[in-house]
Amino acid sequence: MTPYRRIRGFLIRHRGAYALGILALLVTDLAGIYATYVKTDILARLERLLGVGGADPGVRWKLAVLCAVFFGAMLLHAAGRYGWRIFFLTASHRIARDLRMTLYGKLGRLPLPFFHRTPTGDIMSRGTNDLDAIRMMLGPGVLVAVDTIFYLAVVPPLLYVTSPHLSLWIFMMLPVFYVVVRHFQGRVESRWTEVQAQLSVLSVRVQENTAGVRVVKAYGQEEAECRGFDRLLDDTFDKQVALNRVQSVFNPLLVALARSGIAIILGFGGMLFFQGRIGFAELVRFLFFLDLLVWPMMGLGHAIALFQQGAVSLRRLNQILNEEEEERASSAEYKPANDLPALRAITPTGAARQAGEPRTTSHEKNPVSIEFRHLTFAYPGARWPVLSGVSVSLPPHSIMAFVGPVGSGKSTLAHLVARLYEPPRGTVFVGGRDVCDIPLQELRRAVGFVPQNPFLFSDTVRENIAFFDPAGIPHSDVVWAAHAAQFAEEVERLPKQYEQMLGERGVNLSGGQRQRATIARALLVRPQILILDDCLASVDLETEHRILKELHPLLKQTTCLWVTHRVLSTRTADLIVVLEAGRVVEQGSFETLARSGGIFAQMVRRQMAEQKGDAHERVR
Amino acid sequence: MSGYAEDDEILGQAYDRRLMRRLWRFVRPYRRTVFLALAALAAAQASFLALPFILGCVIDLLQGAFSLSDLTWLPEGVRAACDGLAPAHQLALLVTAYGALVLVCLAASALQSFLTGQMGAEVVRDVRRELFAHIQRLPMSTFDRTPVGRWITRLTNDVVAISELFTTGIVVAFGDLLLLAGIVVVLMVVHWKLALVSLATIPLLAWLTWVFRQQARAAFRRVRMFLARINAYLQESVSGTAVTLLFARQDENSRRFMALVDDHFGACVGSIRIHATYMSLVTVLTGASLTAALGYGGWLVVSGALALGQLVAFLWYLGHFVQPVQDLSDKYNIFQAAMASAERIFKILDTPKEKEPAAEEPGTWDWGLGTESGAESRNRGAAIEFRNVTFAYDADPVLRDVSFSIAPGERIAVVGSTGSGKTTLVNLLCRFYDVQEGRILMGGIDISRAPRAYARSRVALVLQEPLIFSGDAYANIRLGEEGIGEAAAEEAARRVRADSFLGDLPQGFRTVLPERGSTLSAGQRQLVTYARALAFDRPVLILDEATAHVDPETEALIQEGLDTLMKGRTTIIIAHRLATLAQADRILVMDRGRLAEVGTHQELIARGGIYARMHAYQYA
Repeated sequence: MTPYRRIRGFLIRHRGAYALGILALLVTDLAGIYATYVKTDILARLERLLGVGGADPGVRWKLAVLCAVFFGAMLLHAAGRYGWRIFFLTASHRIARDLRMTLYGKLGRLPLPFFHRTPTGDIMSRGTNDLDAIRMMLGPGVLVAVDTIFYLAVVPPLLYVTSPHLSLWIFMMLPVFYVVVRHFQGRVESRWTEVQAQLSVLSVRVQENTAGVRVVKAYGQEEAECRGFDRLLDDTFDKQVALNRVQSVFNPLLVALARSGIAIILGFGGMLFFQGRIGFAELVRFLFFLDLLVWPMMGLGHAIALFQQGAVSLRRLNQILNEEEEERASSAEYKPANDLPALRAITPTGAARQAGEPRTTSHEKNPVSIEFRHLTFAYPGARWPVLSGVSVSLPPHSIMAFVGPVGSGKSTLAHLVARLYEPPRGTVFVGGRDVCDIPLQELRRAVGFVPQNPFLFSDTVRENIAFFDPAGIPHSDVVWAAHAAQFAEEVERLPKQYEQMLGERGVNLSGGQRQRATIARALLVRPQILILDDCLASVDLETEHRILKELHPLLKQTTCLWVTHRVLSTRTADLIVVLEAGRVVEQGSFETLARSGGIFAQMVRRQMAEQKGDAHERVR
Repeated sequence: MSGYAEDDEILGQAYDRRLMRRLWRFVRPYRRTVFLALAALAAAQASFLALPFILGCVIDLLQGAFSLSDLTWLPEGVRAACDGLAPAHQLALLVTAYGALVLVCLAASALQSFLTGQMGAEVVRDVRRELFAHIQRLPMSTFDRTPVGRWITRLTNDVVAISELFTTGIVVAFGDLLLLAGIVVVLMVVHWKLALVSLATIPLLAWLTWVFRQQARAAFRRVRMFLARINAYLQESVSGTAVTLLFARQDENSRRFMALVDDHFGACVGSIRIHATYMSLVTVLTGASLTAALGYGGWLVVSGALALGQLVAFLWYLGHFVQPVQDLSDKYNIFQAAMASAERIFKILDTPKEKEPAAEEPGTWDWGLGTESGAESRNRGAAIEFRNVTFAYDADPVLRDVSFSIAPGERIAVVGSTGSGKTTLVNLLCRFYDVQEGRILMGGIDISRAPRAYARSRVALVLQEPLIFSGDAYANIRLGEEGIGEAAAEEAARRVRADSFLGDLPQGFRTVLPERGSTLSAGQRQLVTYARALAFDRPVLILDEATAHVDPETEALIQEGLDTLMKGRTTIIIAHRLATLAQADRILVMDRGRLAEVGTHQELIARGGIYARMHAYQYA
């Protein structure tokens, strides 16, 4: 598929601007050509006068009138130029804006696996550099191309009309011209592609190095990193030089070709003049018309470069735009849930109570069941399934803990419920419906998810907690959620409290604070399903215990899927599922499992034993 | 966190002498290339300037108003030889000269373009190399403040902007100035009165350009500022994709992004208008110049004061006057962008590197870096002592007067609630930060007075967040360390039981592990970092909350490996889970920056202090 298909729609949408641009360009170029005609006309009259001698006073008036006509043509030319730039360039910025929004919208519809396999630096480089290259193609590129095409279409006939004889010589040069363009075009394009790709590699390398700086420094790898980076730089250099080699010949060659045309005309035109087969006026006019072609020739090289770079960039951008999307109900079909789900109706204990409970309304959303039926799932490209034959059912109002060794598939289960990864049809059910049949927007707005990695945006505390619906959530609810997540006290100590900017332009929160902020954020969804994906890992035990105690009544009002490593904390769960190598090996209440003598009991025993200091003795 | 923020809104002067002097350092090594390029450019412009002159001569020759012998600057002998030459032969000579000059111009411009391109690539490589090497040596505090995306832009776009200053900026501007000066000189020589009349518009042109510059500058700033905001938003959206997906916030995000994009578009349109206005006014002025030349020149021709060919040449020159003027006014953006980029790059280069002790000091110490045998050196580094250490990242101390010592081979656990200063102990021990008061001794040597390598080459660090670089398992285990062979890497993997899942990957150990994602689970990634720590075989092992993502089962699996690893090593374990701590010889309990309790598990339980309370929480 040609990369241009993607922008055809945009071009059509802005056809009005482009049409006006072309019109303005016609005015500009025709006025320019006419001015050239008047100029040569004046010169021809001067030549005729030379023989007569400039005695006639009427001649001066004639000259003055012609000069005035010339100036008028130039004014028109200038006016056209104004319109032409405005129309073409504005249209290109409009398309760039459309493309930016398209890209942004697309990124919002792409599934999580895409972001896992595509480095952020790579996406950014497409969204910035490539987008700009496309705009350059659609603005200055189109402008110069249309201009060149126009001149190439209009000037040769003019040349022919002026002197069929001389124009023959010029037309003979066209094949040479064609061969040169073809020869260089392909080379420039392939080398440009390589340069752009190399830039992405470079970005990824820098990203890893700086994100992993603690490891680099602790293991003293600065030198090795520099060596590795130097090798990359050498590759980049080679590719850049290869591109430079063709580019530096291409443009001057095009110009030289156009100029050699003038040399040819001077030579043969002069001979014809001497033989009396051509008039002076014709020759001068021919030369000036020919000179009109030099600038478009220079522009042609430039336009070709812009188009090639634009095409490469368009292809790179298309790679993202053609990615398969998550299915997502359009916002038009979806009606945001203004009715208040379960959590708002319940009474948080302790500190949260002082913060004032969220308003209750007539509607309340009830928690829904979650069911896994013979779920077998493998990550794309993986050899082995990470889950096999998992069948578990979570009734509403239950807290179910998933424990198990690393890689046993606990987090994967959590991700599949929210459809961050797509489960096979007929395996995961929410409220009795196959999740694959639930519009994503509806599903995700029913789920409160607290991820392992507590990501916050560089925005205010309030915006981050009320992330779900910043305009619709009243401040009192934000305070309530912060209290419920044991985060409020710390927020109130911040200089601007809930209006405090986080991140680079504000304050950086500790890992534990971030985790509690993300819990508050999930609570405000007032979810029917709450998923805690090992989200308290960097909170210490005391805090974890306090948070869990506070949250317990809230959790009970939802269907809670709780992934955790802390076996002993799972006492509060209604049901515990033990996973091993993607299979459910045990399930039951804490007491049952602990007494059963299975894997869970072993895990519990080990921790109990350790805490009693037996292990301590053993090590000693 | 955004990678494009305030710094990207820095917009310096279009010309800043101080920055230029510093930038010159990067170009200096290639000054011969630059001078050669400038010479080639001068040759190209000179040959280009000669073309209209020859054209004029040909036209006068046709009129019978010129003979080669009229050229007074030709040697006497040549003129004499030309004297009797038939006009047809003179024509042949002139056309040959014209063709030859076209070729010279082609060769010279290709050479110039090649040389500047080469130089540009070299400057880009050098700046990147220096910048990257400098970044490797920056103190940790800089990294903690700087988002990853920003390093990427510095090393990609900003570096390119600087090289453009020299390639398409200064060199081309020089060429344009040369051409303008050349045209003025030639016109003055041909007919100074006509030159003065037709160039009368120059002051107006200069004024217009000056006004335009002011306007363009303001417009350019606005465009850049909005673009920086767009990119910051895009970057953060990509980093926070999972959160946006989970909360189905795409539509709201799109609205916010749209507002930014619209602002940017508005700024772009403003900038286009300014440029278009300027360009068409320049065209009007050119038209005026040409009209004056035609009118006055025509009158001169009629009165016999000027040859017709000379007028043609005159018009030809004037026609080429406008291009370099427009070119120069476009250079403004390149200059401005380059100065802003240079400012940002120098800001990094001016950030002091991690401090090392003064050169004369090492003599007074024996660092044990090679003078002793491996075993001795190892033991010396393995004893650790904190003496009255006080440390603050900002204003508030996070460590207050902390003192303790660790014997070689001892296993120490550090516990404490979030923000108690545990991680800071690690940061200080790895010399990511330096103590402000007190001393840290390793092997009896104050680490802040020794080279950084002294502390770091003794420490193996395992972080809570497992860092995987995009490379295969070998590269991830041995990093860039040449001393660790593939066999050693495999052995390390085997000892932490990472060999089974690494071996299961499609290409085994050679499979490229992605930066993030699902190929390996969080726990498996953690195991890879254990293998890394093992392979580096350091006397001090630091596990910073490293067990948070590994459940008890997996921990049991690697316990054996860790036991081997810890044998004969001083080990500092920072963990929230008390179970891990049971194996410690002693436990340090941190509380709000102070060392609150020290002792064995039993002692601390018996004491009934903070530790006992934390313990009660977990096993309640």
